[in-house]
Amino acid sequence: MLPWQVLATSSLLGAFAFMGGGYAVLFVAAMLSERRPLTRIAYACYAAQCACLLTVLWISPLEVIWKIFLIGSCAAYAVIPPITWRYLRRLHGA
Amino acid sequence: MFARDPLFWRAGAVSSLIVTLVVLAMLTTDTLRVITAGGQNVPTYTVINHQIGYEYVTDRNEYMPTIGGQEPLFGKIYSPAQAEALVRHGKLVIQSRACLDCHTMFGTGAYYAPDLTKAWLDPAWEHLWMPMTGTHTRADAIAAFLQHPEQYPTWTREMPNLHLTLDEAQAVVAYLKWVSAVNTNGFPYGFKTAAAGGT
Amino acid sequence: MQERLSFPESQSLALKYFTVSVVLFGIVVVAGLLAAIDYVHPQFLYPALPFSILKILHIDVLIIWILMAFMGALFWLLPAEYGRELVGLKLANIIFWIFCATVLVVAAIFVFVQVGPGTEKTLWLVNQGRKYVEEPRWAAIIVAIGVAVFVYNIVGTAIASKRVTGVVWVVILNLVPLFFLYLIAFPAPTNISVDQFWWWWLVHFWVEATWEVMIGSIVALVLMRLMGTSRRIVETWLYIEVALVLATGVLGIGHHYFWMGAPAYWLGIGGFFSALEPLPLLGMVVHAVYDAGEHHMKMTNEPAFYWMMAEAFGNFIGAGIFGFMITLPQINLFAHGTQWTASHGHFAMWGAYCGVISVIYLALQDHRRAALFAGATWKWGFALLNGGMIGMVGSLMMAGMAQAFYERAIGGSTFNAFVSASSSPWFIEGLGMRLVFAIVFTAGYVVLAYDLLTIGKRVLETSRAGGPARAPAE
Repeated sequence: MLPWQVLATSSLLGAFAFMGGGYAVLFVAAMLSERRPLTRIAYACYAAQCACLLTVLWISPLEVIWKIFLIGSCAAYAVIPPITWRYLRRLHGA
Repeated sequence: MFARDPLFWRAGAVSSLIVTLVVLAMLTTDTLRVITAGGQNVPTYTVINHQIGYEYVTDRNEYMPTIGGQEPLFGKIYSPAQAEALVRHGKLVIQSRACLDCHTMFGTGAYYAPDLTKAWLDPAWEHLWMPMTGTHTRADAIAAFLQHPEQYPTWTREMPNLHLTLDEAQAVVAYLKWVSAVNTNGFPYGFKTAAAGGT
Repeated sequence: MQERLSFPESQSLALKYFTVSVVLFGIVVVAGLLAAIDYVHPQFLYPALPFSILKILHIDVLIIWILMAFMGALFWLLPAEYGRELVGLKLANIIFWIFCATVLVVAAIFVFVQVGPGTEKTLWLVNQGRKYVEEPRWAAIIVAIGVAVFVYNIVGTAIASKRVTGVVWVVILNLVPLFFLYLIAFPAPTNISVDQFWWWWLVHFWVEATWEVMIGSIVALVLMRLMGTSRRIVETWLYIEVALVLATGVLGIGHHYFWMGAPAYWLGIGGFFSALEPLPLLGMVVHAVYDAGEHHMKMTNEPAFYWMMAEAFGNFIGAGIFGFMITLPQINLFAHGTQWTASHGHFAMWGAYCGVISVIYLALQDHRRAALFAGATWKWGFALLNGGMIGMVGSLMMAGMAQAFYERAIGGSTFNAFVSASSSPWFIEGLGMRLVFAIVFTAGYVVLAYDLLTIGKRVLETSRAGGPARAPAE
């Protein structure tokens, strides 16, 4: 890895996880408060996460196996908030 | 729904623990074999009688230690028992002086002072301390520095005098030489010895 | 005061543990602050008190601080679970004082004796020189005995009460590795690869497995008290958490085995499992936000609640995001062992364990019989501590990135590369800023300590002047 690629890849991975966190928090906040605009911002966060992923796939010399891992991980980030949300509703509701 | 039953998740916790522990036990057995002195990645202590290098291996795409011909340490060739005793003493000195509360080894320790993984091979001994200490070998330069670091300051963060005796300093040198021959999967990256043109 | 407690014997011991743990937190902060000054002014206190000694105090006391806070939390919360006082409290009280005396003596040895000759005797009497467990062996034996007595308190009560809830089962089973892993603090193998291999079992499995499970169980007990969440929900959630922590954390130890002589397969295993770690933490954040939304209106203990939230978010950001940035082996090769690691370490530790502050607030509310814990003081403490921490880890990350770039990627990690990277403006600015935020953090500690001493009491004093005796605080 070239020196700049180390910092760029790592920063993108940080932004990737951060946006995933933002998506999760805003998604749940939106569901709790039933505010539509919040949901849109949440999805925008997830879109930003996908953009980070694409940039890593494009510029980073990470090994293919890690890139595949990141794609799977990005998919997991998409479904964790809604699944956890639904699960928590059921758990608390029953 | 089963997922709302705590017992379902308790079973999940117990089984995930069992599975990962079994895998861990298997890997631990194998790893201990590899990292015992004389194993695949960690040399026997008599490596201190040899020349050691660090080179880039193209087909593995990483840096690896090389072990060359005989090179006496402090003018002496050590038997396996002597070598082990010397390196053992070095480890005790390193622990008793809390070296790794400023330095790191394999990148683990404190981050206030340089990493010691390849300290034995560092080109600064040739460039800086051999002239400063007036010694003719790297081993003597390191031993001289370790006994009186305050006399050879090179930077704002100074090493305190930890009152190493000559024996202790030489034992630490032997330890560092042995450590530099451990295969660390290419860590540190890009390290160049003086012979390879490092500065 | 004590007759007000529902389980006076266990809980007054808990209060002693909490008091000492807050004092120890202070020592951690001061030692850390002094060590941070060393980076900016290396001649500060040198050579009387070199960096190594400050660093030892900073991290060894940290361990004892959190351990004591855990013990306090369980002494406080468990009697209600068992429906009785804990057994063996007389012994526990004696051990408490021995524990305190040991900490004092060891701290004095570190400050005044510091190091010794390279013999086994030094390891027994002065300093073991192994990160996190530098305390000499005689002291380590006392710590081990202390933990053993604690195990007896918890397990003995379970046997005596014949009433073991799910959470208590988790606590008890978790104490077994907690005790046995500590025994790794004693040996001093010659072979550094073998030494570090086992040492990581102690450090990683304590911090990322048994302690995580411990704080998870404590949070479970707290949630039932703080928010009245039902036992079924709390236990379900605890089991999920334990399952996820263990599923990713046990083999996640591999990310410590990249560069210490171990086989190359750890690069794949360690990278994979530790890169998975943010996902369960994300689930925790979702849960925390959910709880906040559900229960916010019923809150009677604001600081306890917000520190619990800080725990969830801190854990995700510090351990999750900051760890994820450097855990893939191709990046870790450059980031490992730099200030970047220090940045992640600080944030992860803080994120994972600042929740103990929540428990202390909760206990104090019971103890002081305050209907409401609120006001401005705790907010200052909260903001300064968390703001200071975020500032510190941000600055350290900047310095660490410069170090990874100049020293590791370009310079090849020689002595010369280390010095020139440490002289780069990014590195110098980064550590300067870290010192500024360390001062902010220290101020936060002072406010926190003041608040813990006075919250709930301030009210009573004003209320004695005329208002109702149990008026809401401030």
